[in-house]
Amino acid sequence: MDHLPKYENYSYEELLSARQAIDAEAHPERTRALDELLASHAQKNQPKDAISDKIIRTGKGRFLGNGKEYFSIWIVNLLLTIVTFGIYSAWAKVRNNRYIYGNTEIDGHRFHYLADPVQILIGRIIAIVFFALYFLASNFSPMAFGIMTVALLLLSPYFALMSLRFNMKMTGYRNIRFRFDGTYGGAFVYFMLYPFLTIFTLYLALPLAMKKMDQYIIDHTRYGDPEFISNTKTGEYYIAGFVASILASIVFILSMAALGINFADVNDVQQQAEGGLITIALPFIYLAVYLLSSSYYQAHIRNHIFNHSEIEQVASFKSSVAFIDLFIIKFTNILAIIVTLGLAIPWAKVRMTRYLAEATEVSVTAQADSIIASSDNEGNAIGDEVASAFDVDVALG
Amino acid sequence: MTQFTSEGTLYLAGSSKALPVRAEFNGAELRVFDEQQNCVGSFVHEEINAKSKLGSLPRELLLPTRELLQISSSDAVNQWLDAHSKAKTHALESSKSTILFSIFLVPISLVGIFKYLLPYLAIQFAAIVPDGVKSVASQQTLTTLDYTALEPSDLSLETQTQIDAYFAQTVLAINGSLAQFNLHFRQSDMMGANAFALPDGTIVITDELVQLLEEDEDLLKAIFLHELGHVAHDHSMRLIAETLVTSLAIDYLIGDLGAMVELVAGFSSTVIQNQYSQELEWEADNFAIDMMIANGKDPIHFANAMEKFKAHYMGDAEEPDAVSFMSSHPITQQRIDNARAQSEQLKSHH
Repeated sequence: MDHLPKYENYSYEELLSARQAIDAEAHPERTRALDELLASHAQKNQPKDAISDKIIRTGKGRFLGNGKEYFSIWIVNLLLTIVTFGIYSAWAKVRNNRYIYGNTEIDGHRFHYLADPVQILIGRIIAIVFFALYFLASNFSPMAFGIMTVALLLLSPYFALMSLRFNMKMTGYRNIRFRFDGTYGGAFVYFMLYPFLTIFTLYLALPLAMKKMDQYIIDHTRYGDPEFISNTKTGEYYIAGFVASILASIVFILSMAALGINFADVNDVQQQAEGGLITIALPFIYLAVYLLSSSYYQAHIRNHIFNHSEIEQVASFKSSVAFIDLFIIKFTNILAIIVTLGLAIPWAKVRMTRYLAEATEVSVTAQADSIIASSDNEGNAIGDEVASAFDVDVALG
Repeated sequence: MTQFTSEGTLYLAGSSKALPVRAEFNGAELRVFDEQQNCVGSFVHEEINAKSKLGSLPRELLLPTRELLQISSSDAVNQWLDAHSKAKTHALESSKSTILFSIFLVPISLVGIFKYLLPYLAIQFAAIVPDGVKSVASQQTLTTLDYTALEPSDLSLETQTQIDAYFAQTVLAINGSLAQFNLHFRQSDMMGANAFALPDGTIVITDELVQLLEEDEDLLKAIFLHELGHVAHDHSMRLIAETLVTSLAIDYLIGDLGAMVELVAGFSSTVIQNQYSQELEWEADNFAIDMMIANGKDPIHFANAMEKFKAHYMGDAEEPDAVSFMSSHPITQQRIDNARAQSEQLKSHH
């Protein structure tokens, strides 16, 4: 007979600690006792809706690091990556992300990046092998290339899924990990099928597909046990897409006119570029137009998603990104990176992270201070690394 | 006995509950007190798993109770935590000399890698690719092109036979064998006047190019020599290898930093690949010129062939110098000048 400690005298927090630390197989009686007491505590601690829904705190995000400090970390890790022919890159990624996540703070608490470099390294090696085989196939054997392309198409929802799962699991806040519990079926429908079907509608259904994809991701993201819920509207996606396209067209036409390029002879546009000046200006114009429209879309959609997503009875969010600010930051970042041959990358990253953090606000209820996370299994780094090698990027806002 | 305290936050296990705490360090022991001065935990140095120091981030201590203790970084705290730690990365990241060293060495080593190391590795790779593989690759490529960009030639049998003879003479002139090199004729609206070489020694020339060169023997032979140069130096395999490692290298060195940087990465990848491709074109040009000189021919023919190209594609417009990094071929005028210069040099020696 197991001698039970006096669990009735334990506070709720102590019960939790004990339950987490205990070996359930060795002490089944204690485990059961703990579970019963925890359940009764949980019931007592759930007062009815009016009180638990009350927002007790609101706060904007902050970024507490700076470009100079990040630069020294980034550049030294880059050197180590080069001298180890890329093997150290997994450790570099972990350190860089720990710095960025760890300096991002909201509601008084910082985020954590929890990945283990070895997981990432293994994932990267597998990704390199896949990529190399695919590339060589494309050059040596069109038939093998064709087969691999089809296989890649079928596998890409899986990679996207694994990538999301891994990245969520590696993100921590207040000692709880985020989780993504989507499945291959859902991933196939929302990351593959919907986008594919948009082709048949001449891409007019693309905003709908994007909305469905974002919604699927949010609805399957959890913070500990509680789930995120989204209330996004498809209409906003159409507005964002439409305005972004109009914006791009207007700016493009205006700049072409400013440069004196005539569109009547589309084939001769290249020839009309007299001298090197216009030839150099052209890529920057394309870049600016692309950034302008993508900034509009990104700002509009990110704001919409945050403003209409929540963790029920725990937290709600707000985002106030201004698309012009976003565009200016991105454009000047790229110029700085080009001019400094890449050395400005850490400052660019800090600047962008800070802007997005400060444009984000969270409002929490009392329940935010007592969220529970049952333990979960390890995510898989391979999916993440393979996904990034093939650019299957399922980015949210 | 060292004794000091630090303020911080204790995050309980499996829950988002966070307590403001005071951590008291006493020798090898750490005791954590909450705001009511209750002791909520007592640990010894060995059982604490501290994450490595990183910049000025607060220190994170993973406790055996699966709680997380986050305390401000201070010299005393850091020393206590890192006394037996082997992690040296923070020391490197905060050492001014290492940082300066990195600022210089990173660009230099990147240039060294892309300009020397990767091409060197690519040449080694190209050398070990078995002939069977090259053969399969070439055949499949030609088949694919025949489905997409190439039509059967419209040249008369006479013309083809005559040009075949020029080709055979050129192959023998470089001490090659007709078993490894063969010439195919095609017509192509998509490619226009063009000639290309496949890794197994297959050379393809379009009707449009034959007409552009007015079926002139010297001009055609100059072009053949250029293409044979590509095969002789295994350029196809080399470019494949260079492109592969470049893509991988760029992706892994700066691919983590978000879509915006990937735009720049994609652009630099293209620029680098164009540099590699231009380098190969120069090698083929110089191979042709050297062979012509060795066989008593005047390199001016190569210059003339290039002149016709230039006139055909560009009319009177000047090719801006700035464009060269966006193009897979060197600036045509430079190739013409190179051939002319070597022709002048040859004449002045006689």
